[in-house]
Amino acid sequence: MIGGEHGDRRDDLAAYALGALDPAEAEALEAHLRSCRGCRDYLRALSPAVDALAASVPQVVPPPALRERLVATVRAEAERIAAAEREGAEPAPRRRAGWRGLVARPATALAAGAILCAGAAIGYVIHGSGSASRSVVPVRPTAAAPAGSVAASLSRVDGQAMLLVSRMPPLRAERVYEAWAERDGVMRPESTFVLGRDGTATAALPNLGGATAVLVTEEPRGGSAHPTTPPLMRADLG
Amino acid sequence: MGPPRDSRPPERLADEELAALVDAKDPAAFEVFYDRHGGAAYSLAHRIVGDRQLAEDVIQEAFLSIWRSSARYDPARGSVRSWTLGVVRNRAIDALRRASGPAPKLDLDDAALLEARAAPERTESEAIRRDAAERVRGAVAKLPPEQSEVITLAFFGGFSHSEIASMLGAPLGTIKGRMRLGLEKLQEALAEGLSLDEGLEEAR
Repeated sequence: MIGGEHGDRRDDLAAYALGALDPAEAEALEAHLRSCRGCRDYLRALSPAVDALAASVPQVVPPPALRERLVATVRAEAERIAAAEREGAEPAPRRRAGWRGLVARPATALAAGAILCAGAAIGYVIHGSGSASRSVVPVRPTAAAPAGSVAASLSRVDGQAMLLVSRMPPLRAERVYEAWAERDGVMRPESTFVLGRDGTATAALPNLGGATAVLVTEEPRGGSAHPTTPPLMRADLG
Repeated sequence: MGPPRDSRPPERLADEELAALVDAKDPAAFEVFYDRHGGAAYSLAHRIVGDRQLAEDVIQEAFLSIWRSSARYDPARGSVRSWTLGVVRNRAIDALRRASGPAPKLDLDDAALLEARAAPERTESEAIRRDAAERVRGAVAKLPPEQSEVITLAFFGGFSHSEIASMLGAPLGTIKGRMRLGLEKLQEALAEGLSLDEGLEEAR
């Protein structure tokens, strides 16, 4: 039997462990936990059960392409950090920085040859798989993008690419962002994505062969076959 | 620069050491980190969002947030595995809420079907993980249905206790009490030899 004092709070602690309290309730309980050892012990005693739930789901094998995209993105970002440090820029910020921190720093951006457009968005496209053959192209927000919003980068590796965005306008319910590949002036759907809690998102663009540009629009959930809203950003692949 | 490099290959490092290297932006460590936890993480995301493409998006978001250190491992909050799955669960629930409409949710009954469809070449650790998962599912299935119901709605459905209360037409206190009783029973079953640790530790 799991025991301890504060039995009347155990129901709340169980709901908290399952992520089922409303944010304000969770905050109040966390404040109480800081000063109550009995409740902390009880919560700790429940955690194996919660961990077990997470591990109890049917085990499915993730697609290898998912690993490839993640690893490509991570390697590209690590190379950018290393390059920035070689250029004599101050060491890349470790916390909460990621690529957003990097692109916001002029030394890095200029070293990479990116021309940043004024006002709103900052971004770039990386071509090629090796560091030697990469070139950098800006991703531009369009007039349809709210000022100050939208930052994006596109990591391109062997005809595949990973689009990373942040500061995108929040989506309404039942809406998604959709990335398009433009060929001969025709836009073909590439993939849809939604935003994380921090306003960032990543989208895999598995097939950019022959594409001259990548664009992003807002679409109904599930995506559209043809754009139904004006593009918010555009990357010319040249 | 990051911490002094360990001469051991990343594959040989403990989860906690690996997490520290990932935090220090070591891409080789990230690959090993993904290989250790990606399978369990993807499975959890898939269970929650019920869709392969969306599960992939969730895993990308979650692992990139770990890589970019916007999510940071804190040893006080349990093992690296449970922390990682916690990050994944939060992202998956967010994705589910954003998608709003009635999400195609999997039933536990779909388990056999899904596992039959999984790749044939299973590593030993996958087999162990699968086995541990089945045993925990068995323990959850043995809970009184009103307890497993609220636990499933909260943990995998991302519903709050008040949402569940109105869904089921039961008082808040009753819902939370069922959550507590169910979790305590599950915890007791685990302590009595339904050893999940085995699966968690060896699933590497």
